[in-house]
Amino acid sequence: MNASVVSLTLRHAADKATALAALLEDAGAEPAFRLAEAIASAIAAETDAGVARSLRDRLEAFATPVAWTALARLAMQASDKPAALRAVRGALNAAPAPDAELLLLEARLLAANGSMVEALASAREALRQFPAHDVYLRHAGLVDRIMASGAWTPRRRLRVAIVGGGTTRLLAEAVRMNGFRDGIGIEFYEGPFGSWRQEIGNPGSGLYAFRPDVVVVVLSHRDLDLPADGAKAQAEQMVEEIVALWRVLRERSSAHIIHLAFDMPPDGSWGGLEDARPAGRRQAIRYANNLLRENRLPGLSLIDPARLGGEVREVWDAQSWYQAKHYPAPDAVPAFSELIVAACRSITGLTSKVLVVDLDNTLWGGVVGEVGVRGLVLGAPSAEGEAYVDLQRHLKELTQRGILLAVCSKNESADAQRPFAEHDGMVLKRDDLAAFVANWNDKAANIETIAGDLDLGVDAMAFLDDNPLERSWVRTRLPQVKVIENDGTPSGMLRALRRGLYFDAVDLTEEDFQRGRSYQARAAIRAVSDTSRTAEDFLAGLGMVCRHGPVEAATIKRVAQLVNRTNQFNLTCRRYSETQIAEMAVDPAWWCRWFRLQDRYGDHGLIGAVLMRKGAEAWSIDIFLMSCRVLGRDMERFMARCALGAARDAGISRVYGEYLPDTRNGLVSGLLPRLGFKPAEDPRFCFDVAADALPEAGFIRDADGAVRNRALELPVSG
Amino acid sequence: MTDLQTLTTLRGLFQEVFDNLDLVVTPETGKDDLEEWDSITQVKLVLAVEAAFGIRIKPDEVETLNSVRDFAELVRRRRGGG
Repeated sequence: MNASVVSLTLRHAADKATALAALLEDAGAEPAFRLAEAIASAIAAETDAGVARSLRDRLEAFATPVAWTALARLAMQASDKPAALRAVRGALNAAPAPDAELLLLEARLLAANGSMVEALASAREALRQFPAHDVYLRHAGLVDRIMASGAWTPRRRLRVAIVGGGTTRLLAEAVRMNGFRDGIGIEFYEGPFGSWRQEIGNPGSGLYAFRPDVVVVVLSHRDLDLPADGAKAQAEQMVEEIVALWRVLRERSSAHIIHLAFDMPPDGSWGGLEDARPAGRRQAIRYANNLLRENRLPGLSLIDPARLGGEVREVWDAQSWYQAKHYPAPDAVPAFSELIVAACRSITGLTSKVLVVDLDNTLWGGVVGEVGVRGLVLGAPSAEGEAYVDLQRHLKELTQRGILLAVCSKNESADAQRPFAEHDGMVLKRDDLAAFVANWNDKAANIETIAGDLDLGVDAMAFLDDNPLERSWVRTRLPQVKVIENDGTPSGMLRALRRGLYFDAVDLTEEDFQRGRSYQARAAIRAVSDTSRTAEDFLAGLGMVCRHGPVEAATIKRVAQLVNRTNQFNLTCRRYSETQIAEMAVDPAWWCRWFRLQDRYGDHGLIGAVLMRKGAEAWSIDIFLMSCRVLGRDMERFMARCALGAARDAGISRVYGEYLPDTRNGLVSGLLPRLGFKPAEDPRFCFDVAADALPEAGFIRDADGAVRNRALELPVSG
Repeated sequence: MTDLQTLTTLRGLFQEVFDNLDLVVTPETGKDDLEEWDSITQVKLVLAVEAAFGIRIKPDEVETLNSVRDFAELVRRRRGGG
């Protein structure tokens, strides 16, 4: 329904009110922003006051999102912002799903009112709906204003430099806006047009002066500029140039590099021959990308825009390239920016860690409590059944790389568990789940319980449910949870998961592979701890052994992951990039140690790290952190004993520590005094290693015997 | 689509892109009146107008769009007067 038709209809209808009613009826419950605008304009242009009044009345009677939005537009034209805000809220309440246009209009009106905190919430929710590019363009100024207002405290800050062969500004702005959405305060530097070589090559360039944390390099197939055939040599040459510049960049900066692989151009003049011939153009582009992949440096992520094939038709578009050398094409900018922001989330430790899923009509078709296990739609030969299997397979694969899966279902617990044991079509097993909650309580409360059980924040959780009412409830009660909007079908849910890149990671560590087992072990331990006679018996029975060592090549990645992801058991919450940690690891002025814990249930992997600055007279703890998975075992005492012992062995008499309050580390506010540190100048504490006894670590045996423990000598049993 | 409707929509777009709900936007409003109207703003206005009206603006037309009236006339040409 386009605006011209609306205009004609309302201008020439004999009975305009009825014509309007027909238009509104047609539009139904969908928001239809432009239609609402057209209706509002038509009514505003109405010269007969009586007719205008009756049309407004008709809008108010209808109370659909389109009607409310039209009323909002009319109110704005009359500069009546309070009325506009009421109408926008009416539209939002009536809409079947959150609507980005309406949310941003609400944000704009709230901001005009001075209600910045509420405006912030609406703007972020809007950006979670994957709006089209023009929505980003039109509201960049508003989001900037909200970011600068002081109502917003980012969880992380990143200085991001973007260089490329074309126009990068639109991409940079979308990255910044989506960063805001995800709690990352991005300040960006944009290299002068087309000057990526100079920006990286010239040590005095603006890029280096900017001191970026991340450098994004965006080159398109046009920068390769290959002939249709005989293209291999040229491709190789370009790759050599790029890799050399990567090395230069790495020498001069510890920034993480995000390099976009070359896109595939539209079909060329040699068509299929560009694929078939060994030096054909398309073959050469693939070859270039493979060479880039093989020559990656540590701290560099190569992202392939081909991943967007499902979402955007063309990442490069001829018309927009000719217009202003846009790359990516404007329509592709939001999806393209999501790839970059997902990498930024991974680098800063903000990737979601848990996916909470519903059961009925989410993991399978049907309500198990009503139709029983045999009545469920799951598996062949039903098409929908196969789609649910695909969804389960996707979720299972997520768990295999360390994403935790939790069930939150409104069901009798027995009913909910039955399909896992009895239905052949189930890909997911009970063991794949880190938590399982089935009851009749409200899901927001249940999600908070799950978060507590897993010792993770709700802000690390995403929620997948086919039921829009449940989604809306959780969205309202727990705004930090990423509620995955979807159309209620299994393929729709897969598409939503793919779009959101909620769990996208630039790298994996051994701990990622072990995480699932580690959480199973926790559950087993919880069961055991109920039956142990005393806490000491329980700890003794675990047979804990700690391996530890200096941070070096094999452990840098995992230590960086911990430094960026650990929010609770973290004394200072300082964040460092992988490259910075690599530098500290070889710097004689730093003491950097990793700690790894095993017990009779298995290997928890590398779960703690301590980084100390070595001064001439005293050492100072810069980072002291531990995974919450191993709370309650005195592991922190072991780590402290090791660190303080090292200082003492080096002839140092004092070690300083500090507690820097962050949003979620209240857990360790009293840690330093508990370990035997005494207050020094706030926020510092001091441990006198010469005079005071080092903390004891109860039941943890040192694998290397370097840390002498007056604990029981326990065998490491199976 | 009437000129008034086009103008109303353009007003909305300008107020959004320049981030000012109280911005007075008339057909005469142009590059000289708004100091934030630089080349990147030009790109944004063009893309926003393309999306709002479902039209495509040609590369050589972009530099001729220096006022609200210029945009309105382009929209009218593309979609036919109303």
